[in-house]
Amino acid sequence: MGIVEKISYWIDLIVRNLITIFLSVMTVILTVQIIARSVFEGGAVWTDELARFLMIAMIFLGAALAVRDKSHITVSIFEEWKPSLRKWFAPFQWIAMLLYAGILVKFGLDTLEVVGPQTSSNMVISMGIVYAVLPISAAIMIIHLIARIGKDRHAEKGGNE
Amino acid sequence: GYSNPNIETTSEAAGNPVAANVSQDPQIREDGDVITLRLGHQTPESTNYHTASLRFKELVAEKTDGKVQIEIYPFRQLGTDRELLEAMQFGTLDLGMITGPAVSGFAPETSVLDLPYLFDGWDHVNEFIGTETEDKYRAITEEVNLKTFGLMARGFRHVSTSTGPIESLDDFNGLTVRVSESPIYIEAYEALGASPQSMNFGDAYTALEQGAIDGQENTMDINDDENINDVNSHVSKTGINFAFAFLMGSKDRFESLPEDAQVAILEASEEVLTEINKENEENEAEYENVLEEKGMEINELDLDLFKEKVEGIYQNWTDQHGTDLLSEILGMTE
Amino acid sequence: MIILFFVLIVLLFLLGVPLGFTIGLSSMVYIILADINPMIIIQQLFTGVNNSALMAIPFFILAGNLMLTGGLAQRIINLANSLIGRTTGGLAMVTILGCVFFAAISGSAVATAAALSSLMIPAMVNKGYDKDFAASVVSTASPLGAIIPPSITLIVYGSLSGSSISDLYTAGIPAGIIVGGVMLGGVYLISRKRGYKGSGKPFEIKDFGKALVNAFWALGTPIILIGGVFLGIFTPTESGVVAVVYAVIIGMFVYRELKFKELGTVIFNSAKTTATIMFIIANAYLLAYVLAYENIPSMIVSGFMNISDSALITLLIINLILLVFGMFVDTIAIIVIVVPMFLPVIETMGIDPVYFGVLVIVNTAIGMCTPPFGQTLLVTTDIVKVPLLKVSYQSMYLILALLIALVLMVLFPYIVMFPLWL
Ligand code: NA
Ligand code: NA
Repeated sequence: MGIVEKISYWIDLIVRNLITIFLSVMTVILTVQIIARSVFEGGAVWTDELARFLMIAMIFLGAALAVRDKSHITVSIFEEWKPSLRKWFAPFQWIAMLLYAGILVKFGLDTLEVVGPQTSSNMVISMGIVYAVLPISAAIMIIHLIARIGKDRHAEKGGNE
Repeated sequence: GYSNPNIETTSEAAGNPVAANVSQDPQIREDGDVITLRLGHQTPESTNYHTASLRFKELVAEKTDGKVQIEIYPFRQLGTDRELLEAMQFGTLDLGMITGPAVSGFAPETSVLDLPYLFDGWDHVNEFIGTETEDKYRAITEEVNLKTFGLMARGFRHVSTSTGPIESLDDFNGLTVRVSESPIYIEAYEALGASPQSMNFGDAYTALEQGAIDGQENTMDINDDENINDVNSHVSKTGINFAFAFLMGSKDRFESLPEDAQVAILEASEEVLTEINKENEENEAEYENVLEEKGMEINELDLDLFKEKVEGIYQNWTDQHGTDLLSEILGMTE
Repeated sequence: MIILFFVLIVLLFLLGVPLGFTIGLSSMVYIILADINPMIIIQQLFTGVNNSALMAIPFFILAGNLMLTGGLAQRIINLANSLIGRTTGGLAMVTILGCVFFAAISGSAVATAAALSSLMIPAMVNKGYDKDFAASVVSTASPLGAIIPPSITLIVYGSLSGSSISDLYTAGIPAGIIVGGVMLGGVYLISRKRGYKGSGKPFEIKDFGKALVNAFWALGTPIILIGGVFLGIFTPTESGVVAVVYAVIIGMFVYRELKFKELGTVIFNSAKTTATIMFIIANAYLLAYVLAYENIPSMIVSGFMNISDSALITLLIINLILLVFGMFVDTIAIIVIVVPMFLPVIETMGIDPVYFGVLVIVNTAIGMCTPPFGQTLLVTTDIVKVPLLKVSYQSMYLILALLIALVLMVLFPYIVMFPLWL
């Protein structure tokens, strides 16, 4: 296993745990919020915002993970019709995703400079932190995509297809 | 259901960030000599945000002999306040009519106007607007590439409830109130013993309808516009905050305009806002009557007890931002 | 340049690039070539999913998966089976009725498809049903999950249009019953023609009673979820959270089929499903920005205003457009992007936005099972490993049944709106 594949593996392991934790935390804080409001007439104003930001992180990190898993929602009409097309289409799919992720990293980082000083309205944290999840997830996508080359080549040699 | 803001918008495509003809050229569109600028706000066409925007558009066109044309995109067509401010920073939007507290996420010191019981009444507000202190205040946003042309004074925000009138601090205690997204508003409601809730207005309306929360806070005109009378029975004149909207622009874009266009915008802003502020002051009482006619009860209360409770918030604020601006604003009534 | 943009979308789509990347990359290329500040790309992607109402999606998907793992779904199927398992096309009809019941406890059509696929498709195949037909029954019936409250799509529509969600829920119930009824009829006719037999066991009140008692806690879900919203204990968005907590409690402590160590896997899978669905929604926002830049939505709207001032004709045309969009676009993406541009038209025509909402929900529910892209179609084909077009081919008559239900609701508004108009 090459170094990129190793990095891809470890990042994936972390991301899997992160999105599981994020969804769990969302559930817990909103449960507490509902109980606090309806039973104790209390509760905190930041719960909705925190849950929303966790959801956003879950979406983009999860999207990176799905690149590695090949579990993105895809309609492959031609490939179903003629499975032999798969090896001709794969490079285009790879390039499209890489381009997408590259653009996201580049302009995601640019955007951080502008939104960095902005603060969120309830937790008053830097929006830069929240927005950072986009370039980070895109960078992870790139790592997974590069790691995929090695893996796909192995698969081809082994004749697993 | 609550008054769908779409109901008022029949003439233009509305209701969505995408419904309108959004042309976001990075360069100012110059069609011959004509410069077209876009102005966005997040409220329906029935509000004073929109009235002010329309008059501003007309006056700017008049002052520049039609050379500067403004296209108005109401009701979140170009996004909510936060996104409008961001787009002005990016330079993809020229102008915006923005709710006051939203700006404090971009320029924290502007939150001085969010402080509870800052203004004694409309006289105090009128005294503040047009002074050097106001100039100083408006300059705060410049360092984040936002130009504030002027302030629209919208009126006092009062709490409406389904649980009877608020007559004392006791009535306020434990009340679940949907409060606008502003850290300082929230601090004030907490200091007064209420339980402020943060939710989007759609959810909040259903929550009010079903009694999941007790109340919300708004200016009288918005209470009428949103048909709060269908879900709440009382408006108690708590007047904790005075609401402003800012007529703003992207600073870079503004400065790239020809000199005469810049002057026209500044003059038009001042003239329109002076006029509309006077109307807003008169209308506040009007809308009170309208709400009463719609069956709501409106009650006054002794605010001195409330004012005592919020002193700590001033301390917090001056710890962070110093006392200069605040004492200038407060000093105006003395 | 807009032509280049559309060519790029179609090309990437045909090359089998994942949908989110297809629409996202095409939009990015457009924005960069049009010399618009590219930071807007980041802002639109972020803004598209920075919406509290959308939190209903992860919670209802998680709740649905927990109800499957925790045995709530199985008990509901058993109840449906005791009711109509004996008749011709028994299992197919149990699937439809199971979807109706499960829809009442789940807010998500995708979760409904996942649950019913894993429970009913193997059972149907065992009984001699064609695999692709079995998949098509689940694919066309599970959109009921979005029609019968609680429902993610109703919540999102309500938050966008400003309609009262409790009103939408009230009208969603008859709409779901009509759709379920028409589907039952359709499945019965097909099964009779193909000779799919039922269990043949006579109806026993004792069996039914037992199934009902077993399903008691599962059936408590709609009472808590919908009741909680109507009584004002929690907001509609929060009801997804309540569904999760309830499913955990019943699955772990009452039915004892949900093991603590499975919880992590269920949460992880739900998070991943949510991410792949919402990644498309985020990118759809970006696409919407490009369309707006090209004035396309306002061209559509003004085009409408010129066609006819008859409310009925307008509704029919809008429905036709939604059906076409539904073939290619994700449900929530349609609601978030396409619906708001029709709302002003609807208001001008004096059509009740709640009624319009129900039509939109039923319409986009059809989109979930029409090829080439539909969430429930993808879920079911993925499980049976049969080509998508084969399943779609089998779905033809059932989709026709769905269309009949839709047309009935367009022609006779009263049949869905009577609880509100009484
Ligand atoms: Na449902
Ligand atoms: Na479809």
